[in-house]
This record gives sequence, C-alpha cells and structure tokens, in this order.
Amino acid sequence: MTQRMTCRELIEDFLAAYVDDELLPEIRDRFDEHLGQCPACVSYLETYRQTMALARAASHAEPLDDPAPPPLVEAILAALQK
Amino acid sequence: MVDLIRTHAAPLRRTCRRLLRDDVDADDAIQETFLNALRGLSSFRGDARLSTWLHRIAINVCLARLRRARPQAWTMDADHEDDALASLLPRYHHDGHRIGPLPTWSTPLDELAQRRELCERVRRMVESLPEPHRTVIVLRDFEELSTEETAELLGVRVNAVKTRLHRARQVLRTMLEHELHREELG
Ligand SMILES: [Zn+2]
Repeated sequence: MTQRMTCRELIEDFLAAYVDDELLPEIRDRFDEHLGQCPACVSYLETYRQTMALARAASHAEPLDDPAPPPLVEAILAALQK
Repeated sequence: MVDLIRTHAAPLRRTCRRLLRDDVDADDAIQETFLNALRGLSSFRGDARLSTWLHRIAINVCLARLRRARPQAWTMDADHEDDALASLLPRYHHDGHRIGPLPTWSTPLDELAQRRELCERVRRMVESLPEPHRTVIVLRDFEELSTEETAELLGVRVNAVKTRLHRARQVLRTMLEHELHREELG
C-alpha cells in the first residue's frame, strides 16, 4: 500500500506533468485516486486548466495591426538601406 | 523584400510588443530583426517556414534587449521568488492540505474566453508577472513554442522552464480567482 499523495505533492510536484500527460502510470494512478477523494484538488486542477486555456484565448484575441502600417514598413526599409 | 516585410511585420510587431512591453522598443526590434534576417538569409533552411524563422530571430533580438536592460533579472537567481509572487501561490498546512482554499469561479470556460475585456485583462496580468515568469508564459502560452525551444532561447534548462511556467500559471490562476469570484458575487 503506497502512501496517499498529499494536496501539496499533487499541486506542486505532479500537476504540471499531469496536464502534459507526462506522469508515470503508477503516479498517475495515485494522482487520480487523490482526485477521487478531494474536491479541493479537483477544483484546483479544473481552474488551472481553465487558466491555461484563457491564456491561449487571450493571445489569440489580441489584435494584429494587419496589414502592417505603412510607416512601419518604411522605417524597416530605411533601416535596411543604411 | 517589401512584400516580405508587409506580410510579416504585423505578427512580428505583436510578438515584440509582448516581450518588450514598449511600442517604440518593439519597432526598433523589428528593424533589427529584418537586418539580422537579411544578413543570415543564407542560413535559412527551406524546410523551416519563413514566418517561424523570422519569429525566432525576433524573439532572440527581444530577449537580448531584455537581458541588456535588466541583467539582474536574468542571473542564476531568477527562480528566487519575490514576496509579491509568494502571496499569490498556494500555501499548505503541515499535513499537506492547502490552506483555506477560497471559493473559486464557476462561469464556464467558453463563456469566459469569449469576453474580449477579460482577455485584455489576462494579457495585463501576464505583463505584471516578474520577468522570468512573464517571458516563459509569453513564449509557451502566447507564442506557442515548445518547452525545449523556450529553454534554448532563454538559455535555461528544460526543468527551469517547466517550473517557471507552473509558477506563472499558478499565479495567474490566483489572479483570475480574485477577479472572477468578486465579479460573480456581484
Ligand atoms: Zn487534495
């Protein structure tokens, strides 16, 4: 019988590898076992994943100055011709 | 060349602005990027996409500028966490339970991701992170580079990238929790 994973171990040591699907199977089993008994960690994992997704969404939502503004293009061309 | 600049300047500008947080610096960095690209054109391998290649040059230019501007933020001690950061990380009891998990948000993700002003706030939150954490989240989550590429560009070990990214996401999660929970309470 392996020792139960603590919330601290789950969040600090294993969570990042869990979301990347990089945990060894036996650790993953202990991770899932902990989740089965700990709503606080389920909630942490869920909001952590949402944070990752929101960071991506925030990146995609950032406007592009497309097409490039003519003054910028001019400045680059001038720099290249120096 | 003009076509090349027209096509790539806008996305490069966004990347440079994200890294440098200054519009004037960013435009200088784009000029330097195209200069370096022109000089290094012979090293461009046709199997890489031109946009990827230019992006990498731009990121290198920006990171070099950041290093020059604040060398102390790039020393070995970069993983030392300041107090402001520590207050946004989870804390634990001796038995390993998290101290006082706060009520968190319940609005579904797809609803949150649709909100432009929230996306804008998330970008500001990322901007407010300490440099080592901010650069990692910009490269990994915004520019969508791999852990290995990020480590190479930053000149740190893969594990350092993973640790900083985890810290950065934890801090961002807490910031969102404060913001969204307050908002949901009305
Ligand atoms: Zn737990």
